[in-house]
Formats: sequence, C-alpha cells, structure tokens
Amino acid sequence: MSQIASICRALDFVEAHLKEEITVADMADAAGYSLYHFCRMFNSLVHHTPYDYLMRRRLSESARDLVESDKRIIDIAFDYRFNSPETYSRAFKRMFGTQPSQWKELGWLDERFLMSRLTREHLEHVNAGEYLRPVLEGRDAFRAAGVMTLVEDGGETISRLWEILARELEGIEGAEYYGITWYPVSWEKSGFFYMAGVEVTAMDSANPALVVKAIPPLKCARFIHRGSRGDLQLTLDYIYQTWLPKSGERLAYPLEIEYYGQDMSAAWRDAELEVYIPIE
Amino acid sequence: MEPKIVEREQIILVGFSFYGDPFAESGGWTEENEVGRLWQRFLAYWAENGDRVKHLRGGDLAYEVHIGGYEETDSMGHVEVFVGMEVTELEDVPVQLLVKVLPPTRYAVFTLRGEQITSDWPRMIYDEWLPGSGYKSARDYLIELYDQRFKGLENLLESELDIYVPVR
Repeated sequence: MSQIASICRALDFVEAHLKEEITVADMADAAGYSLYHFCRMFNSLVHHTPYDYLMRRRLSESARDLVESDKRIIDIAFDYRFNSPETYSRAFKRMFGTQPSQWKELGWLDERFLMSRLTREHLEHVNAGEYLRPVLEGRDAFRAAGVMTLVEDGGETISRLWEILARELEGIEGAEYYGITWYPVSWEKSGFFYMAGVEVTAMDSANPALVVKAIPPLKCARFIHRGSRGDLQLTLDYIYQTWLPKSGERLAYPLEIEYYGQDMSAAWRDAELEVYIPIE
Repeated sequence: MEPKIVEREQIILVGFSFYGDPFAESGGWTEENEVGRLWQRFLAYWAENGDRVKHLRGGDLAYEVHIGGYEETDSMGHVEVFVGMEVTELEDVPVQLLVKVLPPTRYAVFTLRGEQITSDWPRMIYDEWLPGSGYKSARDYLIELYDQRFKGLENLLESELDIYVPVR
C-alpha cells in the first residue's frame, strides 16, 4: 500500500469522526503506521500536522454549521468536541480571525479559507514536485484588456470567456495572457468576477469590444501551477488553506492573477501557469 | 527481525530534550525536523564543552531516547525526545545539560540495517514482533543507540542502528 493511500485512510477516518472523540493515535491506527512514523508521513504529505488538520477540519465544518443551521454556538462547540465555548472561540479566532458570534452574524462563508476535505487528488497534486513553494516579489502596475463576467458555475463560463477572447484576438501575436479573478464581498452567494485578458501597454491599443482593467502595483506570492485549469482548485486550496496560515502572510486584496505567458491555450489544456496572490 | 535480549543496569544520560510534535515546524519542507535540530544543538554544545563533562562512559555512543505514554502523545502526537551521552556518575553535570536516568531493565535489541532505519520499524517491533514474542513492553520509552556503525542519513545503505526496547 502506498504512503498516500495509507494517509488517505487517516483522512477518511477524520471525516467519519469529526464529531467524535478521536486522537492522533487513532488516526495512526487507521493509516496502519506507528504514531511516530505516522506523524512524520502525515506532515510530509499533507503539510499539516495530524492534530492541526483535525482541528482545522472541525473548525471549518463548525463554521458552516454557524451559518447554515439554527444551532446555538455552545451546542456547535460541543458537537465538535471542544471542551468549552471559550476554547472553541479561541481556536476559531486563531483560524478565521473572528469570533464565532461575529461569523454567525455576518452570515456568509468564504470557502477559500475553510479547510477542504483533502482527497487523494489533493495529496498527489501537492506532492508531485517542489513547485508549491512560492517566490515573493513585487509586480509593476499593468493594464489588461479582455472579457469579464460574473461566474456562478465555475469552469464552463470561464472556458466560454477564453473562447470569446480567442475570437476577438484572432491573428494577434506575442500577446501576454492573464486570467484575473476578483472575489466580491459575499461572493459565495453572488459568484466571483473572472476576466480572460491580455496585457495592453496603452489604452488606445485596446479593441473597443474589450473591457480594460487596471491592476495596481502589488506585492505578490508567485506559485507555479502544473496541470489543467480544472486542477487549479487543488493549487488554490493549498495556497489559501495551507500556505497562507503557515506563512503568516496576509492577503492584500481578494484577487488572483493567472499568468499564461504567450500561449493562451494553456488556459484550457494541461500546462504550467503562474498564479499571483497579492499579499500585504 | 529477531532481537537479542540483554540486561542493562541503570543508564545515566546527560544531554538535551525536546517535547512536542517533532515534525510540526518544518513538516514536509525539508529533512530538518525538531529531532535533527535537537542533535545540532546538542552536538554544537558538545563540540565546545564536551571536555568539561566528567565521568563520561567512553565509547562512541550517542543515545536518542523517545519517551511516550503521555496523554498528549496519543491525542496530539506529542512526544519527548532526549539526546545525550552516557555518564557513570550523577555528579558535576554542567548546568546547560539535562539528566535522564533510565531504570535497570531487560531490553530487546534490534539492529536496523540500511533502509530499515527510515522504515516504520516501531510498528514492526510493537505490532508484529512483540505480540508473538512472549515478552511484554516494560516501559514507555525506547532507545536509538548510535555508534560508529551509523554513517549518517546520506550513507543510509552502509549504516546500522541499534534499537533498545524495554521488555519483561
């Protein structure tokens, strides 16, 4: 049995027992490893300690319950095996930067920051290379011209945007392609904005059929994503749920920039692209 | 993996200690973990001050002791790891060093060779060997004993490492 398969059994075990009293030793048993070896394996493949992952999964599901159910906070705390509302609040604030009561009042979830239930796909993706270590760097201001819309269904709308852009730009060579995502407040309800675009140097060079978006100078963490655009979610989960809390960095804007270089076909087939996340 | 059974008197160690999840900090990023850092800290101290330590029990032996049995070991994966050298007397210990006294006991001694060293040998010992051995685990710790047969992780294939498991 491969290491990833063993660790997946521990991940499944966590999901089946989020509301029960379980220990890291129980997770190791589920994986079939000694406790010490398990902690080492889990860390190197999941990039969280087993206990950290268990707590983040519990807190993330509790965050969902806060918004989606009428349960009292104290009951949710006990549901997920916190000893008291105080320990729950402290852990919650540590992960989400806000109190459970404020979160409940706000009434919407930013899925980007909830710890996803990690799958075999996540583990294989994150461990396929060392490429998830970002480079921190400044980016100059730039303008992108393209097509932009509110995305509610994910992939399909985005593919259509790229098709439209490809038709508008037919015959143009040497353009640099960007996918720009903007998350408005409570985007879980309304959807997010996505722009398929090219960099333009001056306003007047833009085709009037296209919209122009100005991106200010940013400090960014630059990640390399390998695989299809469909797998991009695996990289984004890693960035927001694992890298961000570990790095101690803070997001400057609710914005992601995908950079495809001069080959826009990388937007719909397996390729390598850069993902820029603005940080403070 | 057949052990030899040995009786040992009380073992007095002087060295450094770590308590927590040894893999929490660096996780999968590097080969570095808290046990590696513990050794670096200890060896740096030893290089500078080793000759001030008295009653040293000679031989090129370095001990790494893993102590479990805490509630937090099971629930959070926290362990105590102690690294150090053996001394014959509990006297004249420099204030920088901690002391660990291991009681007289019987040990099952396993010699790990090459890739066995990085394998999940605790499981082979405790889950596979122990149940059918006629022995029982006697204490909540085990010893990794490093001597000149251990050539470093970069020369794993030529290396050997002895594991001492307290049994009764």
